[in-house]
Amino acid sequence: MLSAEKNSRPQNKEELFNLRHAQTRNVIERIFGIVKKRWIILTRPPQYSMAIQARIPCALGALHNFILSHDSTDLDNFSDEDIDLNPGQHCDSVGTLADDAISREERSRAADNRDQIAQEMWNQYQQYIQ
Amino acid sequence: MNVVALAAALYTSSWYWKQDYHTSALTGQQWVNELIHGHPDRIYSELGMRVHVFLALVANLRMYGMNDSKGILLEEQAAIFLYACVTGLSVRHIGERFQRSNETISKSKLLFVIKSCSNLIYRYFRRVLDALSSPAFYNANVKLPDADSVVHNFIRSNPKLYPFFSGAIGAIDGTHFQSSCSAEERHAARDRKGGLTQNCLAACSWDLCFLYIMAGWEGSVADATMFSNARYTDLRIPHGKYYIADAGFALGDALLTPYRGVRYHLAEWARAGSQRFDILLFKL
Repeated sequence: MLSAEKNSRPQNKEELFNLRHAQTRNVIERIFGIVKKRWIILTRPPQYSMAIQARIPCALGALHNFILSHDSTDLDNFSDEDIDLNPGQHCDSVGTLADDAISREERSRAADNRDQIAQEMWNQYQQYIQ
Repeated sequence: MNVVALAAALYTSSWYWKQDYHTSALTGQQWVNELIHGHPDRIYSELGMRVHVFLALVANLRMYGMNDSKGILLEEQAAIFLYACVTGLSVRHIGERFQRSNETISKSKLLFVIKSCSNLIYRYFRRVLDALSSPAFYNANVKLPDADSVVHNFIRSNPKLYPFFSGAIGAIDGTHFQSSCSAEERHAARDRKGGLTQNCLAACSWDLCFLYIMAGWEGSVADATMFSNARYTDLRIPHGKYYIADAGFALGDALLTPYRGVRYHLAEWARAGSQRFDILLFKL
């Protein structure tokens, strides 16, 4: 029992960072889940031309915002379980082709920044679990 | 007389083809009126929004220059579009709901009537789609954060996230929408799982509003490619701010990504300790 509990808590600053990161990023999966639940056309192939199909996401995204701005109770119709079931690629092991658009200097700076955030989070977490 | 023979006899009789094709008690406009004045849940179920939102939308469309057409009010045009999106049905099935004609139809005219009804549905679907994807409506509703926008309350009010993520202005990711396409388009549209999809990049804030959307990508394109392109075109990210993105994106000044090779997805934490989802999200 104890080891299972231990396993479910972050063991180091990278794991803690990733957990907080996932908690913060979850919102984008929820919004995709909501629009796909409200508008089935997004999950069923419509028979319109590709040119038309390409405009549907923008139109419905704008319409989603419009609905929320006029109806503060609208989100009550969706649960936290309505998350995106067909997201983009989600893989740790994606190659480094994606990194080529970023300069080595920027990458290094961003990595240092991430480490600093992770360390500060970990310091706070250590106090919390004591 | 067996069933097949009966059906054949019916099909060839002139009486069969003289039946009115559209004979339901309700025309499209009457149905829309029923939704507007009926039980509030009904319009939400059929059109995806409450009646006051629907009426505000129609008023907005008028403001952006859309009008009633000969024989079809703007309310009905909007309802055609919304019903098509909510149900995902074919134009023919939508035509069934928004029937327009009570003429008696002969066999030779039937295909013509079905086709012209479908054409009408298609025309109004396109008209409303054009209005909602036009810069006027889109820019009024989907806005990028300003350089001087304050830290979102979702982060500000959570000591586990603040001040650590104080530079975050939203979350960003790609998603796939189902699409259908011609044979030539089919190859590029296959995503990594082999389905036919359209890839879309979007960013949102923690009040579940879109900040940015870029659609129309082939299903096989990578998230990082869409993001690079967006950055070069219209995705402006203020200096010192960033979006939260997953490991499919490249770490940089504008995107904060997780550590690779370290457990990440909330499901992984759940498997380790059988945590409930809400505990993972908020209490751990």
